[in-house]
Amino acid sequence: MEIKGLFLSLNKGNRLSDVLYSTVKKMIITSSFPLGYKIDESNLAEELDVSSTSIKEALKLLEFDGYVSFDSRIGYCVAEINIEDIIMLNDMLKILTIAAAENVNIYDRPSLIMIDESLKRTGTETNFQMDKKFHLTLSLATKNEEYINAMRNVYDKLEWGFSAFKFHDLGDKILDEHKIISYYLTKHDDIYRDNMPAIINRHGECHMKFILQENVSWNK
Amino acid sequence: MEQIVQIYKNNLKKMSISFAVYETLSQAIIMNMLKSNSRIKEEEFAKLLNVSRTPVRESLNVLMKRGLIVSDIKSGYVVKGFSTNEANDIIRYVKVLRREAAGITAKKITDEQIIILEKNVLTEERINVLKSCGKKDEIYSTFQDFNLLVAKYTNNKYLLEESKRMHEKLLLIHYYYPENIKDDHPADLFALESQEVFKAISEHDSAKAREAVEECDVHILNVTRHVYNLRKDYV
Repeated sequence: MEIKGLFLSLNKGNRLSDVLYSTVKKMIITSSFPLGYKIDESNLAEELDVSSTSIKEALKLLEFDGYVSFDSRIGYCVAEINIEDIIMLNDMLKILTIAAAENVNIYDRPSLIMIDESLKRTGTETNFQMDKKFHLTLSLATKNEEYINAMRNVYDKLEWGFSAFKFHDLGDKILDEHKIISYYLTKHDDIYRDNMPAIINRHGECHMKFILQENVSWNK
Repeated sequence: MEQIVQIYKNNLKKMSISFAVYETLSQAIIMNMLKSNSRIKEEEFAKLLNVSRTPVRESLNVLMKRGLIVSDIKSGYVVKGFSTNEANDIIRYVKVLRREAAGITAKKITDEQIIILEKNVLTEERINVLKSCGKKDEIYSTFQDFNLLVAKYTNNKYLLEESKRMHEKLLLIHYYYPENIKDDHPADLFALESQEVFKAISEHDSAKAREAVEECDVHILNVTRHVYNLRKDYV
């Protein structure tokens, strides 16, 4: 990914430090800046034609979010993420999904329609993007800002991990399970609601199986 | 303000300037020295702590990311206040984090960890001791410490970080709705929850641990809701 183009596409009336934050974060989670990569503030400032103070501000925020680490001798580097992190993030994803599913108001038809719509492929999205869209829509349907932000953060980190370890795209089976979850949500019936955690747990294990499989093939 | 300078001087002994500024500001907010909806001015703080504006601005940016302050076009930075909706969202999310952490920890906890956790359970004796020495506020922080320990024993650092972050926000909510922590402080409910959760965790019963949080929390939710509604009525 080319940073200047990305920066210009994001730079539309938002605060400069926010734009820089999103730009560098995107470079990291797509592994355009690989793990351990030294981020040269002055080079970056020159390339994007901004002050190095604003770059530093963005890097401070990224450090807080765990995307970069700071060492007084080396400066800012892309932080490390490993397979244990991906597994922990996957657990967080499961927790947030269970919470979102139980907090969706089943009488809120627009939200349920929105969830159903998110199952449909609109263009050339990868399975990972489809997965992200479904889980994010589910959390959006709760209208709880905390779930929404947490889900976003988890997916950003997962995307980072998947790209850093060059994982393949998710399998279709995972997407099929989304249909079951969405179907269960629309049923105004306690039996379906009671079974929801079990369904999502199974779904989480399906995610986990994928991660472990990919990890084995990556180690080879 | 004097207190804040003092905190800063103490921090400066242990860490770099920029980190000390950040720690000072966050402690001042979490300890309610900077109250909700009060303005924070970059220059003012730089002057107060005798530093340049850059570390202050950087700290404020991070605090904003943590959700403890918000930026306001008119008045710069403001310590976060919470609408009842926001407060409910946070309380709900904290409950989920607590419940799931209890469920995971019940499966994983070691015998040594059970012993440490037991020391952190909020018992009636403990409450009475705290009440008798006028440390009522500590009842709540003891309860928080117990919860964070449960989160820690999940061995999931993301879950722990998230729990810490949300507990901070919960503290701000308590300051914002002071009736909640001062008079209607549901100490017995907190105690009941931590005892029930501990019992289930020590028996490695994951389902029971989750249930314990769910059940006790219903009461806490009711109490807090009641308090919020009261406040809404007379504001």
